Amino acid sequence: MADIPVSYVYTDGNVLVPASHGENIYSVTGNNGIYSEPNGGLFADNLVAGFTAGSEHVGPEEAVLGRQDGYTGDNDYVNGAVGSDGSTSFHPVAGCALRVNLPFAMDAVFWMWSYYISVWRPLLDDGEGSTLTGALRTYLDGAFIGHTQRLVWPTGHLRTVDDGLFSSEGVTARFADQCHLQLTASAGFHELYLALTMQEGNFSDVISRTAGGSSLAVTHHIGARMSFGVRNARCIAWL
Amino acid sequence: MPYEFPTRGLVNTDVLDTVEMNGDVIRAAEKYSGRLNQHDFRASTIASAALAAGAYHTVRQNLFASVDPGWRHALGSTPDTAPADGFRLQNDGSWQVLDTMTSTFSTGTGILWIVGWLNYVSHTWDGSYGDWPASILRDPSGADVQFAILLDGRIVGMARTGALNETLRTFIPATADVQRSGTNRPGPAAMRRDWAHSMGPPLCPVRFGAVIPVVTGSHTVEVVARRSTALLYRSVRYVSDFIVVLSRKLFTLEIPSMPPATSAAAAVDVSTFEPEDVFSAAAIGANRVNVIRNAYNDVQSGAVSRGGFNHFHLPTALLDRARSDIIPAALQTSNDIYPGYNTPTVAAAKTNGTGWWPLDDGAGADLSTLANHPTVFNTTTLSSYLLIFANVHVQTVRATGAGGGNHSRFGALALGYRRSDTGAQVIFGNTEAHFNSFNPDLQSLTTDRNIDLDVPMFQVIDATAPLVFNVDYIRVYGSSGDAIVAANPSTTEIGWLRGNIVVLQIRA
Repeated sequence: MADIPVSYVYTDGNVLVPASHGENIYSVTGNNGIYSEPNGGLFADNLVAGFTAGSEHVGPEEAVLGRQDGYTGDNDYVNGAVGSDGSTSFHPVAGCALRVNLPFAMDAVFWMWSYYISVWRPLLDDGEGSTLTGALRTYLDGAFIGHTQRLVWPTGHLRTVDDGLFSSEGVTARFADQCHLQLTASAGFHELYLALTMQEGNFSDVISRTAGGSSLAVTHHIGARMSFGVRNARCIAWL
Repeated sequence: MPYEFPTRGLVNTDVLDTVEMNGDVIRAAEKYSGRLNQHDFRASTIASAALAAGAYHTVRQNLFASVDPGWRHALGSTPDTAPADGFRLQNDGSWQVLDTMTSTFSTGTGILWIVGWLNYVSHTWDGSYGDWPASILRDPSGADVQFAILLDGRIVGMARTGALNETLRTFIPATADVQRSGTNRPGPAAMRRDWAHSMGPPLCPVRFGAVIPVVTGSHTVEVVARRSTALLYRSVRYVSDFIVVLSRKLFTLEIPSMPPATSAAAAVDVSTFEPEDVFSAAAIGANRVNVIRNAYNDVQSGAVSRGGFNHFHLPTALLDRARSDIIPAALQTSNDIYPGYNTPTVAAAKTNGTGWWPLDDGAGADLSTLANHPTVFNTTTLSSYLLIFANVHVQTVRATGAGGGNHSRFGALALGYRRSDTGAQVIFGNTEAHFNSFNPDLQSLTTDRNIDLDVPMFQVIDATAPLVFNVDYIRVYGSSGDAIVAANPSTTEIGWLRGNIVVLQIRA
């Protein structure tokens, strides 16, 4: 049903009533005027049957918006760089983060983040100790997203029998792409970042090193490391 | 100015003046003629059904190739008999466009949301060099492969699955107690070890993506791959040292910000009063005020200005959405046997069965949308796409019985759904994400270490043409096996920890 009614009918021979004519033009009380109604009063009933709003009618980023940020350089994090409480202290990974300002509340925000990672995590032979633990987590607006935690795999092997050192860092290096759906995001800034932790401390073990054609067994203090390559974080926010 | 007012209200004793009378109607007519904007409409003016196709976004690519990797049945024994539709990479270090992973389309100014997914296998996994995949006899070496998105001929830097520096070897964070001995060795030099700049696992799925602004014009989006340069340092090259890309997907969604106009122009045409015109009921009423009023009572699409609707006026962008996750208290394991490619056999139990097992948390919860989305996804009346994303932390793939070492074993995860009409569970073959036990114990060579692999999954259900069923739920399944031809029941076990699944139902 159309919304702007005929409030005043013009009739030849009748005196024009200025106030009534005014209602037809701009009504301060009702839904009559051809000026007053378009001033915020048009709604679904005013639309022609079969009206469709095309993409050109939807304001930029008024329904769906996307953002991405990232970093293509390399970064190494060693376990000494993490806080004193290595088991619970998580350290943001530079470049794998995104801060987005939502101008209005959104129904959902789909977050994705990717990172290339290789790890040196030593594992000593039985009888010499255990391993340095490590983990990756993602935080959204400062809160840990529970399902995102990933444990870090061991790659370094220090062999007692000959002080040999082996590594599976290359074969286990991988690219990860994780995601999270945030529901009913409020207006304002939202921030997601990847964080890591590595157990504090190091192992003391003998490693046989070779230089100039001869080898020498030397005691080393051995820590852990995570190295990141290309990484990014991105989001699609849905009205 | 967003709001329009008559110049001056007519009052008694006024002399009718053409300028003022024109002011009563002209700007209202002008406003209707393509200038209606966000200030002219009430909130929630646009119902979901009033959105034109592509109003919010347009799917520009939904490309995929489904490849049976051949596990559990023979496909051949030479490199040239890689699976049908598999894409074999050349070993020259150059970027190559994957078959079926390319198309060109036109857009307005906006952004592209690109998602790629694929599963690859390296024959560095295959110790016998040439058998496909019948015999895996030794620990793998790194695959050294990178994937990326190519937009209009350029690599999207932040969507590259590796590191840029391909010459620097990683270092071991170790400090020698004594840096110099009597022979001045080993000195303070850092211990350099592996090259780590590309994907190493010999059998692995990978997902990658980007959100990229584009300008109006034609665009080509592709998935490319390359063997990285360190591979070329190897002195001995094996004929069969190659990589085959198995199932793969490329999805691109255009989100417009300045799209081309598609609606026909709409206008209301009223003439101005001129001096000595007859002022009659028809002149002011039927020919002017009524014409404008009627136009505002039947607003055409072309009457609305570019960007005329904002979030107050518009319906939600997603038709439906769901998320679910599992956080097991302890490692969950299953040794159910991989039933073969694209085979929707669901195992009857978590252990010692054949088929796919729905991943669970060990406390009664599946990794399924059903947990938080008890209603169906409407695919019978809504023209839409279902975008499905999932990630699972797989910690282990290990041998539990005879039949070769751990490294010959593989695990597989897949996405599936249940039909509302038949109740059948359907498992997508081209979502099968295969991975092997690629982290060897380099001392014992008898057991493997944890792989702690984040397994990504991705699928698009095209429901642009109505389906004959709704989707009850979508969930993640897992299975495992060895890669030999004959079945070797229940000798492999996968173990998983946390995971999540996300479903976005978007408008077609």
